Parts: sequence; C-alpha cells; structure tokens
Amino acid sequence: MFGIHHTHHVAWRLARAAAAVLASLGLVFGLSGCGSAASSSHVLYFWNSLTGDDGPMMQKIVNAYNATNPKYRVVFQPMNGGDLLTKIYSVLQTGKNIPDIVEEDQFVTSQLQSQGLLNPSSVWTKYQPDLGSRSYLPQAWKGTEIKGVSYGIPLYMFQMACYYNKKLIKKYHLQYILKDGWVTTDEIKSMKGKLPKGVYALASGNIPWAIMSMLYSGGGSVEAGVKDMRQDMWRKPLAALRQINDMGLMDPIDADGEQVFGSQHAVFGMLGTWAQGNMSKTLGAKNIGEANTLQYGDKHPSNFLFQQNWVQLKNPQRSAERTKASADFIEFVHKHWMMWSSVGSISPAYRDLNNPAYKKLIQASFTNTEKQRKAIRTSNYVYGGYATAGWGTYNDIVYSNVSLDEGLNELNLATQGQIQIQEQS
Amino acid sequence: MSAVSSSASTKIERPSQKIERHHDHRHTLWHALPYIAPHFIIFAVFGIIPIFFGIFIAFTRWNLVGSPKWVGFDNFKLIFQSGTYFNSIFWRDMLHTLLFVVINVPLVIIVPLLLAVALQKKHLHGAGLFQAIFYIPGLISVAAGALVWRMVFNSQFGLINTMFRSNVNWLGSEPYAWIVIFIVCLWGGIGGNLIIYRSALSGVDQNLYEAARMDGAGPVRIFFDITIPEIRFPLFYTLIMTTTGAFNIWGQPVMLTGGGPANSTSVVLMDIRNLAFPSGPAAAGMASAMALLLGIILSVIALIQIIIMQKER
Repeated sequence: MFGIHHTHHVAWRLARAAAAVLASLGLVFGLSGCGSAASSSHVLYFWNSLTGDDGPMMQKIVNAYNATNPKYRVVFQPMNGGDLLTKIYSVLQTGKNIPDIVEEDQFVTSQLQSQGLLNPSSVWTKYQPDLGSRSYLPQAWKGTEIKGVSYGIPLYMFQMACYYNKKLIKKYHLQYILKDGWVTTDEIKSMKGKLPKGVYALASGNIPWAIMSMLYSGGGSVEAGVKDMRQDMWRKPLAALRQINDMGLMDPIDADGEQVFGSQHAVFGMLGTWAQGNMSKTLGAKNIGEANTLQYGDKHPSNFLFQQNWVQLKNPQRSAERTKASADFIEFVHKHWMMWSSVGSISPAYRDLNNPAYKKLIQASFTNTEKQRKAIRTSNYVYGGYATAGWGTYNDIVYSNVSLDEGLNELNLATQGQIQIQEQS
Repeated sequence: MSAVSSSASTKIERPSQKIERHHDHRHTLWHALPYIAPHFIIFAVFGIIPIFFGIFIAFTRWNLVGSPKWVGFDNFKLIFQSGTYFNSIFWRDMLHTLLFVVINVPLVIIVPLLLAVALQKKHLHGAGLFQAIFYIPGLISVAAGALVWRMVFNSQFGLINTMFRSNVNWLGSEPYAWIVIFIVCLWGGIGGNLIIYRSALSGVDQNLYEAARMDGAGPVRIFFDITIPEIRFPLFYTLIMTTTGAFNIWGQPVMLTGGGPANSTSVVLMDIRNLAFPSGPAAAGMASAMALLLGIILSVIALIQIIIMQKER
C-alpha cells in the first residue's frame, strides 16, 4: 500500500518537475523567438539609423506610402547606428527576421558586401529602372559600387558644412573670405585680431569628418591616406586646425559647436548639414549661409560627402514579390524626397537637384552649379571607417593635448592594427 | 547515558538508514528542481553559454560574420607584444581602470558608511527622506545623469564655473576630468551601499554601544571597535560588489570625457567595445581576448577578497 502511494507521490513530483523545466524552456525559447515572421507577412521591415530630426520626417514619408494601400505595408524601425549593425549580424546569423530594406552608410555598405551579405542593387532596379545610376550624381553612385557592381541606392548625403553668420561677416568686415564661396584654414587664420573677446572665428564640430574634405583639398584621398596616417596629407590639415586653436580662434574642446554658433559667438560653424534646420530657427534662415566644407588649400576645392544607401541583405526566404514591393517603396521615397529636405540632407538624385524648390534650400549650395557638383568627393573604401573612428585623438591633436607626431602615430597604430586583424581573419 | 547511545548510533549507521538518507537527498533535489529550473535555464542561456562562447572567441579571429577562425594564442601575443596597438591600449587602459578602482572603491564604501552612521543617530528627524534623496541618483540612467553633469561642468556655460567665476576646463584637462568622473560615480553609487549599511547597522545590538560608552569609549573607538566588526560581512559584500562594478566602468567616462583628454580617462571596457563594434569590420576575437584577461584579473581579486572574508568568519 505504502509502496503504491510512494510511487504515485514520486511520479507526481517528477511530473511537476518536468512541467517546471518545460515551462522554463518555453519561457526562454519563446522569448528568444519573439519577433515577426518577416518573410511571410505582408509587411516590409525598414531598418535604419534615422534617430534624429530625420526620423519623424521619414516616418511621414512611410505613412504617406502606407496610405496608398500597397499590398505590402512598410514598418519604419529606427535604431542607433551601432545597434543597427549588431542587429544585422544577429539576424543574419540566425537567418530569421532579416529586414527587407536597410539604410546604411557607404563604408558599412562596403563592409557588408565584402562579407558577402548584400544583394546587388539590380534586384531592385530591375523592377524600378528609375532607381538606376542615371538618376543620381556619379559620385553618389560611386559610393554604392564595389568593383563595378552597385550594392545600394543612394538615399542622402551629409557632411560638416562650413556655415557662416551673415550679420557677423558684415559686422567684422570679413566679406573677402566668402568671395569665391570656399573657406580655407588660411582665411580662418587671417581673422586673428579682427574679432572681439568671446567671439570665435570657428565653432568646431566633428573634426574627423571635417578633416576628410581637407584631406582631399590638400591632394589626398581616403584610399591613399589610410595606408599610413602619418603622411603629410593628414599632418598638414591637422597642423592648420591646431594652429587655429592655438591662435584662440576656435571654440573650446568641451563647447557645443551648435550652441556657440547659434548664440552668435562664432562667425563660422563647422556643423552638420542636418543642423541647418536648428540654425535657421535660432538665427533666421536669411542670416546664415553654407560655404561648402572647410578647405586646407584652394588648389583642389573638394567637398567630401558621406552618404546613406538603401541596401538589401541576402535572404533566401525572401520572395520576388517582396523585393518588388521594396523597390516600389524606395521609388516612392525617391519621388517624395523633398518631403524631408527640411532636415538639411543633400539629395543625391537629379530629380531633386534640378528641382527649383530644392535649389532654393541652404544645402543646395553644394550642388547648384556644375562646378560645385564636380567638387564632390566620395569613398566607400572598406577600411575608411577606421580613419574617422579616432575622434578623441583628432580632438587631442587639434586642441594640443598631444603633439602632432604622437597623435598621428596613435591614429596610424589604431588603423593599421585593426586592418592587420581583418587581413588575418 | 542517552548521549552516549545517541553518539554510537550516528557512528554505526544501519543500511536502511543509508538508503533513507540517499532517498532524502534525491527528494530534496527533485523538490528543489522546479524552483531553481527557471533561473538556472535563464542563467545557462544568457550567462554560462555566452561566457564559454566568449572564451572560445578569444582564441579566434572573428568579424561577427561566418565561422570564427582559430588562431590559438595570437590575440594574446599581440596584447603582450610590445609596440603593437593592442598592447599599447590594453595596458594603458588597464592602468586607468586600476586607478579608478583604487580611488573609487574606497570612496563608494566610506562615504555611504559615514552617512549611514550619521543617519542612524537617535532622534534624527528625516533620516528616511535623506536616504531616499541619496538613493534616487542610483535610479537614474548613467547616460541621462552624465548628460546633466556635462552641462554642470561645462567650461563655458556650466553651473560650477559660472558660480565660482572660474575657467577650469573640467572635462578637457587633467586631473579635473578624473575628478568629475569620481564625483559622478560617487553621486550614483552612494544610495545602494547606504541602504545595505543602514540595514546592517539597525541589526547591531544597542547594548554593545551602551556598554562601550559606560567603559568610556569615544565615538571613534566605538566606530572602529564595535560598528565595523559588527557589520563586517555586509562590508565585505559591498567591497566585492563595488570592486567588480568599478572594474566594469564604462558609461561615465564615455559620456563625460569620451576617454580624453589624450586618452587619460580611457578604460579597458571602452577598448573592448570599440574593437567589437568599431567604425569598420569588427575584431571580436581581440575584444574577447581583452575581456578574458580583464575577467581573469577580476576573478583573482574577487577570490582574494572572498578568502579574506572566509578567514574573518
């Protein structure tokens, strides 16, 4: 009697334990399986890093597209740029929830392509020929090409523009600097002694980005420069910026460039193209202008522009119908790009560049003339991202926290070290 | 007599008793399993498996795509080989991390302890309110808190420089950059330890204090001879937890100084993160190798602390 009862008791306990273990496993694996069946539903997932002012504007375009009642609705999923790349690798490892449309910069486009993770953009252009090379600036299209094959479609271009305060230019008689529409480091230096205390010649922004234009205007290039970052093509522009700071013409290292320029404490501001909305609100659109990007010299006027591309990750589960629907959405954005022109991005598409409404925008100064368009430089060199990564070291060099040699050695060591690891991977 | 027989019975165990004890053990295990299973499975999936995977990755070259390539100790060789980038950043930033641990840990233990003792004073009004005030910063995210502190210490428009009419570049020059990091870490770290100490202090027998006072002991003597020994286990616990947390410092220097000026506030976790998720192809193997070395150093220090605690017991 006792034996039977005991056996039942043990069996009951065993069943309870098994149920608990199964419930736990269900919880863990159920949670890990959370997400959407991206390949089966009539929803297109659009992953992007539009977390600034550009996000709500793109959301409006997405809403406008969904309002046309397409068969495949688009879901706008913005996330931090670093998280976006990490998530891309995660879903590609698992093969699940791979998004249909991704927005990434030109260096990441190359990186993903070199890892064999991208489809060529012809998967989209075959459904929407208007998204092909003929519709875009050749430099922007170059930012999508690797060995002659395009792996993306340009969405927008951006950089640290050289803004100027028209009132301060007039007040301190600095019109001579703007005569040719380009501002060089020598011209910034020429402002020494012309400004009162508390007003800077230059409010600095993201120096590694700004230095890219100076690299090209000094005759260099990303491809040649990354091989050895101690070369003169890096040294000379950085030395010039350092001198500007030493002369007391640049705002302090911990100052917010937008705040300094917006509060009229700087004549020029090296600020993002996307900052024009804020600056227009703060200072009035009529009171600010964009004078290209800051130049090292005047022999090779160059605007190095970064760009964001539409890319498609490889996914064997994705149907041709989904790909066509993605192409339809990208073409919709291409046609309605002007909806988000107010965020300050530079359009890579002729449709906008030749549009009279676009030509009146502040950022159109980069593309309004043929000469300006020819000055645009781009690069999608796969290791280009390493050159712009050490922003702390760039700041240390410019703000004299380290010697020029020490800083350049540090930048070179970091870049070559990481390239070495990749070459051996 | 009964004591002797009882002692004898425990020495000579009957076979049936052995079986019963074995059954008891099995029953205890089956009984415990449903309770520990959820936590254990989650711990295994999100803790044990990633740890072993991370150790494996440390011996590979992996850019987060495809299969990791086994390279043995190559990553470690680069870390230990003088003149390489990885050698220069790892040891430089390990030194910064140790500097942070050595200064921050005593601060985050001593200040809350003194505050806890002060708040334990009899007839003190509003002790709970002060405890809440000290605890609130711990609830605020590092990023949000650091953003506010950045504004407070801004050299141009910041509250501190404006109030004291100084022009110190708090975030862009040394030793001020480290001082700001210590202040922000202390601000965020007081609350947690304060609550543990207050709870421990409330459990100390008040008669000990009475007796000490009657024997003529002063407040300092009482603090070192009664308070500290009576709460030594919570103190050891907070010492281990605070040390572990200090080695994992990342958010405050990233948000406040970005590792500058001249990399003087760079810490090891910043290198690990930058190598695993760089502005270019990832070097996850090297990042894991650095993480493993940091983990080993951290484990050795924690082990020493635990051994000392066991001896104290």
